[in-house]
Amino acid sequence: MKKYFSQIIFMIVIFCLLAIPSQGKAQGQTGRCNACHSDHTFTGDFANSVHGNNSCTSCHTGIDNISRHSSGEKKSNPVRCADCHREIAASYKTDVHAVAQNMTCADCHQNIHTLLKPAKPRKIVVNDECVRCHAPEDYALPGHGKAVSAGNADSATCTDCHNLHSITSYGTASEKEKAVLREAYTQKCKSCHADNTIAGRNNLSPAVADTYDKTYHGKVMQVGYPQRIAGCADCHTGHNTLKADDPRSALYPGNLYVSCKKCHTTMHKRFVSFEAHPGAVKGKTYRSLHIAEVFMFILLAGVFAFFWLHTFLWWQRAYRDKCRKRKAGSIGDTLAPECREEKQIQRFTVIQRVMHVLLILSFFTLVGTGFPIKYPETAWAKVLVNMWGGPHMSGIFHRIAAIVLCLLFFYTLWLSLQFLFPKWQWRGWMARLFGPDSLFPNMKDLRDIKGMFLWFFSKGPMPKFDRWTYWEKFDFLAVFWGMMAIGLSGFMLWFPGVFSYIVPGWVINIAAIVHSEEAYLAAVFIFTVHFFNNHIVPNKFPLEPNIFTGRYRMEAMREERQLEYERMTAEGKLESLKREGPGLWAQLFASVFGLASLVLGLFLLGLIFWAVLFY
Amino acid sequence: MKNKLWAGLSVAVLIVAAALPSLSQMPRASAAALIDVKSLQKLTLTGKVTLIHAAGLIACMDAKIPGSLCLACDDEKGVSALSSLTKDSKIVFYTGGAGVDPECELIKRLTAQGFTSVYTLSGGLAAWRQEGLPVVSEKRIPRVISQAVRSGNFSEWFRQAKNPLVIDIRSAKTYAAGHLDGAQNFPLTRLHIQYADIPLNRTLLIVDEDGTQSFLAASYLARKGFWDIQRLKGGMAGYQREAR
Repeated sequence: MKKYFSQIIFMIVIFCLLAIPSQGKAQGQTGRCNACHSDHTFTGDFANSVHGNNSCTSCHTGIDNISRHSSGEKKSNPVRCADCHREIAASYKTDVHAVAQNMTCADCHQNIHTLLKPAKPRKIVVNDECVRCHAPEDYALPGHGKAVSAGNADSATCTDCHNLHSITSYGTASEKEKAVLREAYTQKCKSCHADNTIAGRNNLSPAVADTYDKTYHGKVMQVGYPQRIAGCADCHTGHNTLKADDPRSALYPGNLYVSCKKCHTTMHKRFVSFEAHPGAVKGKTYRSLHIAEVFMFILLAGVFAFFWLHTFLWWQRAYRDKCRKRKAGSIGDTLAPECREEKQIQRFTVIQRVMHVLLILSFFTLVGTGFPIKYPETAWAKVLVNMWGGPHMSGIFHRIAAIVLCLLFFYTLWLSLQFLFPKWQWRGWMARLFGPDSLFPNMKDLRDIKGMFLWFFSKGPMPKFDRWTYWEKFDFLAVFWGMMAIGLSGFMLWFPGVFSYIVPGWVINIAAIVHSEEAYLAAVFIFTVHFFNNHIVPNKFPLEPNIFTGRYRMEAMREERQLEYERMTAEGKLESLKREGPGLWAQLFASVFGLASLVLGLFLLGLIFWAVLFY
Repeated sequence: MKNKLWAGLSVAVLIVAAALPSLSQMPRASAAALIDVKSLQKLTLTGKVTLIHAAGLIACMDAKIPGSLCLACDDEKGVSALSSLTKDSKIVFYTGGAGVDPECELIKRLTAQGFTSVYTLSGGLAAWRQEGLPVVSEKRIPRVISQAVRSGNFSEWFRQAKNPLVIDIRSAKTYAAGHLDGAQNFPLTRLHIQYADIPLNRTLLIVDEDGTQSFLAASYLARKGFWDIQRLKGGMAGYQREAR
């Protein structure tokens, strides 16, 4: 190193000597220009400005003949700031000032010859510069701008949100771009407001971002559909970001109606009690929401605790039975198709089978379109939504499926009334309600539950069932409860403004909780308990097709519904229920559609558990 | 019978499902058909299109798509300037950012004369620039600082400003349909002819359609010696929004 030291010094000296003449040349040229352009701007201030190291001709090019220039014959070429400031120039091409107003650098940087490095903090300088044109009462006085002027370095200045030379404006953006901007600005807000350190320093709640993400607005935003929901600025406004107790704030109680009505054009004044950030404000009670959450938790925990235990115990018992029978050689291959020649028993009518197929289709549509909104942060949410043709189409499919499900519900209600009051005869309705053909629970069901648990532990025989088992009744009645809970809450979320004429806004918050949790209950229950009880239980695996074919074997009836078999035999009705075995096409449809539904359901169940466990 | 009813209902639901997406994408009615930037760019490459900057000479000279004619909507000689065109010629009108006036006289006259391919550029010059496409400025107006006044503060501004005068630069027809009290109409399309009629000693407030043209007008007037100029933020559209 030592032997090269003198050579390095020599190189530095040579470099400096080469550099000095170029600076001198620049000064020399500037001196010549100052002979005419003798204003103090050029003779004094310019040398101290940020561009002071440049000669005049660095920017004002094309002056190749001083005398022609002096006489006014030859002007310099237009100044091209982009020759040096390349990156800024590239991004500025799509900046709103360039695009909408044809503004060039010097329109903002008007004192270009005297431009000094700012003495004030950058954020304050930016604020001051922008409000030279933009109304200060909008941009500099309230909220962030005021805090910046007061020296708060955490607060956002104009360029923190809008960027410096690549500003896109709502005014110039297409509808698609506006959506992108809404998403981008919401992210900008979150970048500071979700930061615990910044929030703590400024006495703000860091939960505002997280609680927004858990609302319908936030979830739909995350799933990639900012077009039709509120981002931060839609409620808080872009610039008039004041505390809610300031009468000038869009969130001031007296102003909330106007703020909400910008999007929810049909709404009652009581709508404003909707919580856009439930749980974000410390010390504020959200009792009704808390009660709803606890209720739904107990409901879900209770249902799953009972039925998952029931399912597991049943499975292990049925598995052991099947193994025993297989060893004894008393069961054949259950996967073999049934023969048409074999007489079977009619269990479901054509209408009931069509209803179940429609129920399956609408249910899968609802799960496939709804769960990406429930778990928008998952890796699969956007993929699933895009499979429906994007968020907009996904929403349309969700609503169509909801309408189909509602129609099924009302038709089932109608059928139930016809069952209870045939030809509007009231007499005997109690007997029918609690009778063997009814789907309404009765005391025998309680005895059957007890009997099943005894059977699970080999403490007794499997109970004998009539036309409907208690778990089938639960499935049926769960749809009734579910439709009222999920259907009503769904319509509230679909038409929140209209429902505000009936209920206050905070009920919409509860509707969101109920809709979400009830959807989880329905989907997970169907994909676990219902699938097991009807298809995955070892003596039926992989599929019980009678809901699609409408009929099943006499032996199956005798084994699974012994009481019904005995009742039908005693009443002499069994012969009238006998039908030809299902045809080839009916069996093919039952196998393909049934198994595809099973596989799809289990796949969706996997996605749901993925979301629950890893997000 | 029940089966038929059920089947009919299912078919109806499917038809509604199929129709919904197409219903949501139905275009809105317009005086002249809209053309998007990409389609226009392709048309310009064929050279078989006449481009017209319809916002007046000041805006047109400030920035226009190369090869455009500067013919304002209220230009009396507009039709005769296009007399060499055949009836099936493609003509595209545009302005800075705001759409072309739906009541544009020149478009009406052309369509009345049987021109069948008259379009307006969706998003205007701003959308063109947004795509990074070239623009020429034959005589750019250097922008001059002029404060924006919020619509909500208009009354206060009017009370406090020294000798205020509201200059409405929208078309005469739009102005006639409704304007701010005391506003005088100097359409941007004719401002280069009429600016001399504006008194120099007044505090001016420039009002346009939507806030996108007033900055240009204010800068132009500043170049002509007017020194106390402000703009109504958001133009009349913003004012009406605030009033609601």
